[in-house]
Amino acid sequence: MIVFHTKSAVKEVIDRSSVATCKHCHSPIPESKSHNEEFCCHGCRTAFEMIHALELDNYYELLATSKQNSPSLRDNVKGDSYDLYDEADFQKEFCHPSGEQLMSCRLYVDNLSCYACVWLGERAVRSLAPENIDIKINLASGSALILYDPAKVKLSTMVRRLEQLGYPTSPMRQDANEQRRSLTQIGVAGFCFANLMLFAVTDYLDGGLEVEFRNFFNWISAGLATLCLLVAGRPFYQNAWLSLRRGMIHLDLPIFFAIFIAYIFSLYNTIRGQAGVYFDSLAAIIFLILVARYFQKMILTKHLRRSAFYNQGRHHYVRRLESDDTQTIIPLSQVKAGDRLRILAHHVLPARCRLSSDETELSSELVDGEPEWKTFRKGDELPAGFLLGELPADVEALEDGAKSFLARISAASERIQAARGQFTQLSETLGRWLVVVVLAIVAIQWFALRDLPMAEKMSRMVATLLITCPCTFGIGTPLVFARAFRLGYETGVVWNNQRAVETLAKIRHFFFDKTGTLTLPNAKAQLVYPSQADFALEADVAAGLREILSRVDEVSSHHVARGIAAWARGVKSQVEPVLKPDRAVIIKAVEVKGQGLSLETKLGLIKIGRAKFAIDNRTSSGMRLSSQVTAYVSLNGLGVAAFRFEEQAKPEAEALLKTLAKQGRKLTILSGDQSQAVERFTESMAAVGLSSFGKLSPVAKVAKLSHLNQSKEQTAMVGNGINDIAVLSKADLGIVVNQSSDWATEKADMILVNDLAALIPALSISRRARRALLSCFIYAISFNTLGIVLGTIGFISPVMAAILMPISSLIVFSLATVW
Amino acid sequence: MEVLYILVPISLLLAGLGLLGFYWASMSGQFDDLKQPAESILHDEGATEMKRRQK
Repeated sequence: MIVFHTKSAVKEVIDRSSVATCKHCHSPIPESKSHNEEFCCHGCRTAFEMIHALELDNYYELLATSKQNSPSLRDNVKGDSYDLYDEADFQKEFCHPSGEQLMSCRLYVDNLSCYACVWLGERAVRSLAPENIDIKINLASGSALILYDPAKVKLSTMVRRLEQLGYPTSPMRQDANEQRRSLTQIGVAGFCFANLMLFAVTDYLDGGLEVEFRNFFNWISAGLATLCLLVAGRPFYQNAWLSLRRGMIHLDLPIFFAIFIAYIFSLYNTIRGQAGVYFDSLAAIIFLILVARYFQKMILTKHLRRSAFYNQGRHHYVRRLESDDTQTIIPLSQVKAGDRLRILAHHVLPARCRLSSDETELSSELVDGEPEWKTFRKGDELPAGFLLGELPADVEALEDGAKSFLARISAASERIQAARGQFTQLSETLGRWLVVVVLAIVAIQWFALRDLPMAEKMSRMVATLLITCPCTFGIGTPLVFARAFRLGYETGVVWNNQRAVETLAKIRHFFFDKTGTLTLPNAKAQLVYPSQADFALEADVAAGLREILSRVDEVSSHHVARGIAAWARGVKSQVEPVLKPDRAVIIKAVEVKGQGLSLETKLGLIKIGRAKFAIDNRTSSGMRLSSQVTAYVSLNGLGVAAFRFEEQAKPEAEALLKTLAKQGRKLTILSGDQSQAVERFTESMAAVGLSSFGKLSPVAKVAKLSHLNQSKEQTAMVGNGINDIAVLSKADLGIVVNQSSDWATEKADMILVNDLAALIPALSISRRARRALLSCFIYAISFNTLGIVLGTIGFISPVMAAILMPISSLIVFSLATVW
Repeated sequence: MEVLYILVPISLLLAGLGLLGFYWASMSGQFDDLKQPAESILHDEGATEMKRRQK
């Protein structure tokens, strides 16, 4: 439990520019220094003079822009919510008790680039409580193993320390021993395989050894093969058993079948002291397939690590305020109607609530796609799924968490996903075909060889089974997917499953959400009044005002302040001359929640915000109040400017839609926003055949998608919000963009990490992966059919088969990795 | 050639010992990270306090 100090409704910020700062490092100059001092220390003066002497002065400009664009390292990424890491319910997936008092936790750590990062991270965390913390950071896997005493120190403080240093973390929910186990299995299989080859030589050198020795060697081989099957063959019989229980055909089933029959048959011949022992082929198959899968798993692990940062599962927890105003973190499903909750800034309202705080700003963007901020007052009912603005709010839940809108839509999406059924994957279909073809060949062989003695017939059929099915496909498929995952990672796509890799290229109809998916999250500020950026003021006053407006984002992180600052910077770069007005200094800034920002400056009192808040005397200003205007700016009470916020398409959106249209794919926008806004946006995109529908509820989106897709083409939905969850599950492929709601990311098959444009290379990866899978399959079938026919008529001797098999594997390997 | 009946089991026994060694090393995480431990000797101090406590 944590005591939370409520922030007052008014936030005061003292502007940094009122204090003299160092010309080089921008830290404040100590007051003890003389009045005209420009540097904080001698080192900074030397550095400045050196940069100046090398004519690299624009370093400082670059520094200033990069500071504006990137959040400071000290801004904690997760707001106030680190304490979630201390909750047992959240911890249970990545922590487990170690010994009597200690806890052992595994975290992914991002941004580790070299050994110095490891050193720094380990030292910084350990220094929190050297006697109670041990941390080991692994550079190779980008993870940390923390051992600590929960009675003495909290995990949240360690996580916070790491993130402050610039190393974001994420719970590591995977089995830590899996990779070790795979490596051990490969080692054992390799050992058995190599030794078996030695003893199997006798079989190939017909008559080279006395029968007595051959039997002795065969018994040793049998022992090694048993070891191989028991230790290294485990994944095969586990998967085979699982697939049998579920009534599905898994690729491991025929592999296991072949291995097992070969083993029994060889054992039978060993006992009888006869030739026809295939222990070495069996071990070779196990070894090669395990190696291919290991590569796949290594790439998959790396990729799962990436997706863990997008899908942390934090959104399933809320903070309940107890009667003594302390907070407890509980899972959303445990929230009861009447509970008092505290919702943090930028968090989503989990259920229908009533506001207990005085006032708050909410956006319904995630629910209905309308990119507007609305103000709610104490006692107002707040709908679930709305996004909170810049400040936390206290609310009273009006419904149980388990019955809330989010829980319901999440459950509905799972139902839809289940009803969609297992999409038949190309690799699965091909694998099933392979089983059928092999069985048919064996059956034909049975008839073709019916005149041969039983033992000889069995021997040839086992050879067929061994050579045919497992190797080519067992090695090929994982390697193709491993490569697809890696290529995706490089182009900014995270695939959440193999199905996504195969499906993408087959998509004929793309559906897009508008707000936040095709448009930028921050609306662009537009000057409505006056028509010129001179604000109808004297030139130097206007310049001073523009200068101050361009810096308001330093004192407020509100979206209006950020938008206006971006606008002012844009204007400043056009207006000549670029003289820095000396009166453009912010002395004091006060942000009034839900109203606006008031700035005490050398120009006078500047207010930015609602009309009532900003403008004292409406009659004296020539400005008309309009419902389109979101923010007013006043100087000493006189209205000087009015801004409207207009959404902006993502820069890559139009090119993407055009490319997709050119490829002959259908494009439709499904938006919850007002129909007019959606139409305006669609026209601005100018992509051929782009249709759009506005004012759709989450359920209406699903209905629209099925209605538009009467011909049962493959569909994909690209979205970002809570209103897209259901339709993401309904489409054959759910794709979310960067900065999507956690609720949506959880349901997606694919995440576009950087921008929308990555969809084009992803399509090409998917297409080439399908082609590689197909060529592996065609090769496997034709090579094996040829081999079997030749084997049946007795053309291929065991020695030739032994030489051909590794060559065949090599060809499959290259087909699967070079495409 | 009867010597093979002794030599082959001996060689297998020795190889088996090596395999056991590999099994232990792999399962106890010796191959988790191949680069970093080599550099850790340059680390000035380790997690000594916590280790001492665990004993």
